[in-house]
Amino acid sequence: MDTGKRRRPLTWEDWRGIGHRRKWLFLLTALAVAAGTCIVSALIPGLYRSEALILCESRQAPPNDGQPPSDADLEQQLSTRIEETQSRSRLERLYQEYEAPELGRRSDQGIGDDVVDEFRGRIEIQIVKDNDPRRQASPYVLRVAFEDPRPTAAREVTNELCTLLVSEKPESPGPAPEDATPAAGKPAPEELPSPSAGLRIQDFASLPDSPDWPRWKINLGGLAAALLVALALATGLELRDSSVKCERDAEFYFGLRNLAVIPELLTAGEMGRARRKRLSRAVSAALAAVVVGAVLYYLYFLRW
Amino acid sequence: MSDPMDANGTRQSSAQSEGASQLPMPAVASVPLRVKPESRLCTFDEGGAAGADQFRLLLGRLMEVQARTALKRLLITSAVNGEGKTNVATNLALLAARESRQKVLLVDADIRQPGVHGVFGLENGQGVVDLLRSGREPWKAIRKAEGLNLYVLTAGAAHDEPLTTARILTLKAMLDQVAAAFELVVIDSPALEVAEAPMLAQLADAVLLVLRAFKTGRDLVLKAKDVLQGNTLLGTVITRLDP
Repeated sequence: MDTGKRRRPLTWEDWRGIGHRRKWLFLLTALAVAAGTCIVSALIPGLYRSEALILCESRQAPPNDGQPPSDADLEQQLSTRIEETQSRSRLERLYQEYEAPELGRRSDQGIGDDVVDEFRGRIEIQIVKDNDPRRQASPYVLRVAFEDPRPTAAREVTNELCTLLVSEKPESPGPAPEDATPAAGKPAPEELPSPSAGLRIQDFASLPDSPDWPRWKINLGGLAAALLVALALATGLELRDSSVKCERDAEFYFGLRNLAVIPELLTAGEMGRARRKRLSRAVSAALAAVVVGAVLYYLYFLRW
Repeated sequence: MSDPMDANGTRQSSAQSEGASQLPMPAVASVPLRVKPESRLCTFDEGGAAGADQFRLLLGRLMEVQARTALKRLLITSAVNGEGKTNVATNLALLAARESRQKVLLVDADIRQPGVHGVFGLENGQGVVDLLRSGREPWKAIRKAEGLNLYVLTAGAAHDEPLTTARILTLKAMLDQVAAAFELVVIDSPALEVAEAPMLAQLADAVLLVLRAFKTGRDLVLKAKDVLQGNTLLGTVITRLDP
């Protein structure tokens, strides 16, 4: 039996052992990557986020039907309106107006899809339903937000998006936008009963006074990446290590009975050194935590 | 598991050839054991020092084998150096002498890196190397631990010359001469990467392979197992692992 090449199936005990053995490698790697991400996210220019609130005032019954639209209909109408507002042509116009001058672009220069997609990624429009029975007649609110490195642009683009959303008919930007083409089986957006008559800007966007912190997307992404990197490193090292780790290894790989498992026998001097080593590690870990905490505190609360 | 019982049909064990061990023993020098603070003897006191229970378990399993077979000479070896052979050999011999009331002889056959004398605080002036060179009576070099049934034959002054086949045969004759007086002979051998280790294994009834957890690679152990083919491999002892 060639047991040298075959791997013993890992049991729950083995996984527990791996976790115990590699805990510091896992924790330190994860902490290092996560702290690195935090520092990088703190060093890159901050984004100002401006928010506005649009109230859906009342359910509007279409003229040819006596029934007010249901929640599902209303949500679909609002979704359609949001999609229309974020069509390529409208975003292109907003970009030309607010971003291109800042970057030194001429207005007649074409804009790539990636630029529009990046611009669209900074817009956030959420449909929020309030379940308070007192607001049964107008339970929907649109939360509109835009992020930009310049606070003024963040506010102005947010307000412009609000204006587009509440306007009776969105401004025609010229030729019909490509993404406004109705999907198969769905009526064209123009055919849908417009909820805009019931939309009212409740809170206009204000000028943000500080960048949006913490940057959750980057930091959470960094944390996930840190955990994955640490897990990959620990697993990779464990797979590369072909040493004997337990009694079952001796029995599986060599076909020999293990007669005893002897723990590490320490001399009196070694026990003292081990205690001092544990103490110095604990002190080092505490110091490292204080330093990292201070750096993060500085970056998150003092720097801005 | 390779069992010494299996070997009975093909190889006469040393115990069978020597008969009963309760033979009159020549007078040997008695010395006090001076366990140094830096030694790793966990079986010196009767208390439950870390690891002592595992040595009791090991001794119990060896005694089970002894009850079924004629196991007397046990060689302790490993695939590579630094696995803990001397710790296992000294602790096992001491425990067997104290708790099983057997007469135990501990032989330090690791002439390149002798360690037994250091563990017990013994002089290393006279030992295996000197006996092999001079051809003197082995009893002259064996020392008895005061108050215990433990007898120790140290390695003698360390040197790098390998043991030749002729010297191995001389050692075998010496062991044959003294082993009849003991119930258990524990031989602390060099690692199997040393040339004479496989030959030394031929002197024993069974071999115990010491593996250091998280250090000894599987390929090294498989190679060691191949080297020991033809010997009775009793099993393994894993060191530096919390049971």
